[in-house]
Amino acid sequence: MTFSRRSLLKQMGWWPLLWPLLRRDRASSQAQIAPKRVIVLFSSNGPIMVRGPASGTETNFQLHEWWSPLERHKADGVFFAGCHQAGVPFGTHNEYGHQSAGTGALTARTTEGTNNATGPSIDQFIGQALQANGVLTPRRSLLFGLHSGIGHWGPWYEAAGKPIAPEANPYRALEQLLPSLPADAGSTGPDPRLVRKKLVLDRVYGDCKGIVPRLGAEGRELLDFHCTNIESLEKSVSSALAMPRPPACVPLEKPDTELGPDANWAAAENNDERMKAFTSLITLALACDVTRVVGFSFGSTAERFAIPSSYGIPSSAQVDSGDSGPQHHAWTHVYNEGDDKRTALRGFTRWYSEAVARLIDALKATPDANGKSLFDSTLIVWTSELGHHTSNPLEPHPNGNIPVMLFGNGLGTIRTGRFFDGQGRQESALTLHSLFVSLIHHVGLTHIDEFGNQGRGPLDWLAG
Amino acid sequence: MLSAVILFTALGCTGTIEGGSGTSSGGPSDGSDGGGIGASHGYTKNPGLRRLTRVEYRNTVRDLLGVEVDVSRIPKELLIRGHSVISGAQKTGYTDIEAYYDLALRTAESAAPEILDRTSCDSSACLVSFADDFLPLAFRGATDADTEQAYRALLTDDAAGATTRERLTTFLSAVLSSPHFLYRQEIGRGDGGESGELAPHEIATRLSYLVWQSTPDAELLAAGESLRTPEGRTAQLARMLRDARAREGMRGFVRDWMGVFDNRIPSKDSAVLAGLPADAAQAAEESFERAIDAEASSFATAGYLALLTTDRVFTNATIDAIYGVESSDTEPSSTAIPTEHRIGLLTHPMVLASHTKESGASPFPIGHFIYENVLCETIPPPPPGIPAVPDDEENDRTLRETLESLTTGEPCHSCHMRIGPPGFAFLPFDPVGRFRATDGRDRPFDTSGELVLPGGNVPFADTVGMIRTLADQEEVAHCIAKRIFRFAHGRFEASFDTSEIADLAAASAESRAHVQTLLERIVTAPSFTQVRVVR
Repeated sequence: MTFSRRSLLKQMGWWPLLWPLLRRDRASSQAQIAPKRVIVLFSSNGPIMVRGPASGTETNFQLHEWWSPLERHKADGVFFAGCHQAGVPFGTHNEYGHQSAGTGALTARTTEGTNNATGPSIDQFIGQALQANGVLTPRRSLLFGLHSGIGHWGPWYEAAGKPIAPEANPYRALEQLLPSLPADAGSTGPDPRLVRKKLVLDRVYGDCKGIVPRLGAEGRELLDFHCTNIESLEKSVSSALAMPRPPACVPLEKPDTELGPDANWAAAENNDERMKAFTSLITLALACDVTRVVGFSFGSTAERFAIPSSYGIPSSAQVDSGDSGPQHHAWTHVYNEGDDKRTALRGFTRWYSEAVARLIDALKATPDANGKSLFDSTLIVWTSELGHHTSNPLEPHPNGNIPVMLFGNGLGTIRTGRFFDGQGRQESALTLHSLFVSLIHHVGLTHIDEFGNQGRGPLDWLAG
Repeated sequence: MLSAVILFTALGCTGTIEGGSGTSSGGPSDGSDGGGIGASHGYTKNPGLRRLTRVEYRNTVRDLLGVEVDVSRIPKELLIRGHSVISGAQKTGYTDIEAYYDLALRTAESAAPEILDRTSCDSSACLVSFADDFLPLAFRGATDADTEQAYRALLTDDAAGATTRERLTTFLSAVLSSPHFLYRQEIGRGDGGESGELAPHEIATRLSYLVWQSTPDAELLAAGESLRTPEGRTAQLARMLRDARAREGMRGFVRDWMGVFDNRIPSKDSAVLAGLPADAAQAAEESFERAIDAEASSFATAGYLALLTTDRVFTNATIDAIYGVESSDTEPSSTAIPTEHRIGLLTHPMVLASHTKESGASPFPIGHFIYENVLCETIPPPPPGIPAVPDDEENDRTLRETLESLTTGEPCHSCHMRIGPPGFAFLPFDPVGRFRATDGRDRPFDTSGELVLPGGNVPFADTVGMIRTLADQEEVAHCIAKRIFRFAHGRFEASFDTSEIADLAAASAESRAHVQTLLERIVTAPSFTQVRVVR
């Protein structure tokens, strides 16, 4: 880590002169090229009872009824069935299915006996890699979700052993977003909030120089990690200062919801509104080019996820894991194939599917800098914590038959409207690894051919 | 009614390490294979930096600026084997730094008006003298003149803001975002080596966060070289224990000991929460803290073991509902409770909620907590591949009978023979601590058992008997000693701590974990002024 920096005062003194020039340069490039984005979606637990999301042949396939809300986007999607979870030893089906899926589903890495994630999740990897390769945005990545707290079993990791929690309150998320929005065309100077933030970050980064040399190995590792991230955040802020507001960037006064900031955002009854709110925030973030990478999770691993009672999810009696109620995890532990279980698991899957479909609707409806829609330059991957056990459909922790969906044609590099059936083969464990590399390539990092500790190059099959 | 058999791995499908003992999520959160003297993993080493816990951050800001902050916005501590204070595990990432800056800015915006009012400053130059007093306190004496000047410069820099208030806000935001503020430094004087001596301000900081869970005051920082002597540290300790802030120190340790890191009451099933007041979570937390404060009201007598066997609880409408009592006062008050069925903190809603699932019985998580947190024994996670057990409604056995039958063979027995009995002692309690005399089929609970201890098995007849028996065991006093060592040093004990731990454990047993005795032993030990940094 280098510490040579320009003088803070000298740097800040140049801003009034440089600012219009930097914005003009950025504006001219924005008008022609749409940024390439990735959205990573994660749902907890899994369908369990059925093998989804589709069946048939490569070009003649049907969406399973549980995923039918996505029918309207079928032509824009690629649907994967029969794939084994990324980063999970093939054939693992037990309690540790939550642990291994949580630490591996988005990191594509096995735990190597550490009981912990051994690398970053794909969203964090892409955000860090973009910045390292000079693609700067006001936020390196964004992470939202319908749950809060750090789940040790993932699925989001900033680095090995460093789990991170999504922002679960849409109003707080907007509070974080607004300062990162580029200043509008009528602004006469840089946003003073960003100027202050950069000043502060530059000052505190300067502290690192004095402390690190005095530390031992473990202390250096801790502080290096901290200070590297200060530097990374500073780059993000510099980017925010330099960029003009894209035409499609229309700041929101509030998230798209009827509920106020003091609503109980943790309540299941509010999850429709919360999802609507976050859809508007994700759209805002991409339209304003605040970031190129968004992660969103409906739940952490083994999430006791519930949806509004209007969906009629029956309430499970107490199951062997100790929980009960009209929530997803409890129903995965009901050891029968009864109608209530089917109603519940179908209900959750359809709810997630509809939420994903509406997100895609919003992206398609929002214009991008190049006159097309945000969706045109965005790849969306939705993957699940758990799947379905073919020979034991009561297994609550199946790491096989993970339903995965990819939406977007990668600006013409992906042939959509197709179905891939991994057929539960062991080599299908690598399909998702390759898919993640395809996401990395989509954002322009074509020199990176590995992700995870069983990495492969991109999924060539996507090109058709 | 419990018709389903609880998975006898007991730890299943929680997916989170928050709350409870470190392995309540089905695996050790750090991948370590155990601790105690001679442990070989990295957390026996002091990295030289100890990030403020959220409680420490909150208290420090309160004491420095008089502002109460919402620390839910900054990173939670990563628990290592049920400890929140293991400094080597606390990594600070990109999103964390964003969160720290956001909170620093909010805090600065709240504090700036009062500071301007108090100092009557209307210019940045005027605020420089405020900074002269503030910076040494905020950075706890850890910075040099050049660093302080660099921060002072923010008060006179046009780029920091157009008005005095804006510049002050920028200045405060920077101070609260600085690694000098966010980390307690325990680096020593220079090249350190294996047994370097801490600088006086670092000793002051270590002492302050142990006793007050907050930043050292000016008097403690000014104590300087006197802190190198045991007598100097003892004198400061005595002064600090007379300060109201000492209750925070005791609260912080007890929370860590009892595994109460978050309020888990809201996470319980709606059926469990039915009938409780809307503010049940907050009320239970207040009752818990007041119980600790009551013991801390006189450090001449305060003892940790007393918290296990106290027959008093601070009641309010929530506690009344859970304990089945009817307190006469409208204000929370200390009330003696019948001790036929419950006693002490282990039956308090905050503690039980931290170690129980959303609904139903949780004998094995509770038993695990007893062994790991209260007895300092390491219980390994269950082996993989244990299948789930389907419903068995035909069986007429009690839950305990069923679970015992499932855990008699290996690889289960060696752990379950330990965690089972104390866990079964809590069967009458629901996830928030309500007592029921019978199960769903009107059968009384069998809460008898034996504590399996290195020195031999010790029988008990019921829940209260188990708790009283537990509190009488030397192992519990020894465990408190180890935990307070870890609390003070931010690491697990290593081989070179053997004699100190033995001395501390003996003092704990002899004094029944007398708080002042333990603190005096800790702060007068040679290790208190040392750092053992591996370079």
